[in-house]
Amino acid sequence: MVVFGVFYMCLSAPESVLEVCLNASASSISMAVVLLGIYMFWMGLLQVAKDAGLIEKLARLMRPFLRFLFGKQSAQTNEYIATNISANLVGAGGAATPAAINAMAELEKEANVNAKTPISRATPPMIMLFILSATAIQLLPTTIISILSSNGATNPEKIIMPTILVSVAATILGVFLVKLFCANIRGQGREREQKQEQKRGSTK
Amino acid sequence: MSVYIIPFFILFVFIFAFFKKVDAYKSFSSGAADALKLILDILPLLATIFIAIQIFTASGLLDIFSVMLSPIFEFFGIPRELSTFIIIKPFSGNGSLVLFNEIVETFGADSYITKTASVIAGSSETIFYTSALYFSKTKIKNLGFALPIAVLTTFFASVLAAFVCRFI
Repeated sequence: MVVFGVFYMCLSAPESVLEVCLNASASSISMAVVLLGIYMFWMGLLQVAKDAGLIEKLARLMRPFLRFLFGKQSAQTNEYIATNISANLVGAGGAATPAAINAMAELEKEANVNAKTPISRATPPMIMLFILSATAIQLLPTTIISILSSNGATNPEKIIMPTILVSVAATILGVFLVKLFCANIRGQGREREQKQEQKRGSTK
Repeated sequence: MSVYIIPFFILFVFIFAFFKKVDAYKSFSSGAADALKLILDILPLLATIFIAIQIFTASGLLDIFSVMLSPIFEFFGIPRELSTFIIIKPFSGNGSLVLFNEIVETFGADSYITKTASVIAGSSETIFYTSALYFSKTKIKNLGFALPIAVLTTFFASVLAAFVCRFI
């Protein structure tokens, strides 16, 4: 993508290639500073919630749901995932992203325990977590509504119901596709054992 | 009603922590310290994605893409005017917001085009950026089906949005 982009730009506007790259690099710093401010608040608050045992309660409340989507995971992982999903629901992206990053790291750690060599391929629970965020069920699209109303929309709240409807439908489709394409999450370990057994059988 | 969810949650956490005798000051600052570590971890990656996405949009590849894809979009009932918006949305949150503002100004806040764009904006994510960010602390190289499924569901959401908005 980058190669094509630079190549095409050499034809269309060669003088601005370097400028675009440097600007983007610089703006990633300001983005990081903005994110740092947001994450410091949310991760601070969530640490308080965690030390008070609230996150654990939340994870326990969501356990049947998490188990269906992600299979059996450690308590720590479930807490991160529960935080990510609930934060996404209320539109607190600043709390959702760090939780997801940590959840992915935990999922990797757990997958590596069973694997001989460190895994480099995303596991089904990782893909599931990503898809849930990508389809973004959001109860209140605040930014969009404020833009609409500042531009004189007669009834900006009208878009809330369709938005929820569409994102729920997309999430269901996403969950279905992950379950369909990414080997059965719960039976994964068993499947691997069976494969190894088959190999052993065939070498005999 | 929903404006109160987050303020209420913040209040609730501190009250709960008080009764559980948690040292909120200490906990909060240790969480904030983790945020600093996290940002340092992901900053190099952030720069890389930003540059890649910026090249993609600034070079005009994005426009070529949207011209190429708009017949397909139209076939599924998505208005031609929205194709650039739908394509930029997975790459850049800021870019799509700028474009959304343009759409609102051009077509009016109550038009079908604007409503559809609103629903699409609210029901999809910046998936390419998110995917890089979410896996940033891991050593995962191969995302498997993650991106194809995300692209497919995003497209499905856009088609559905264009359909549903005919009725509001």
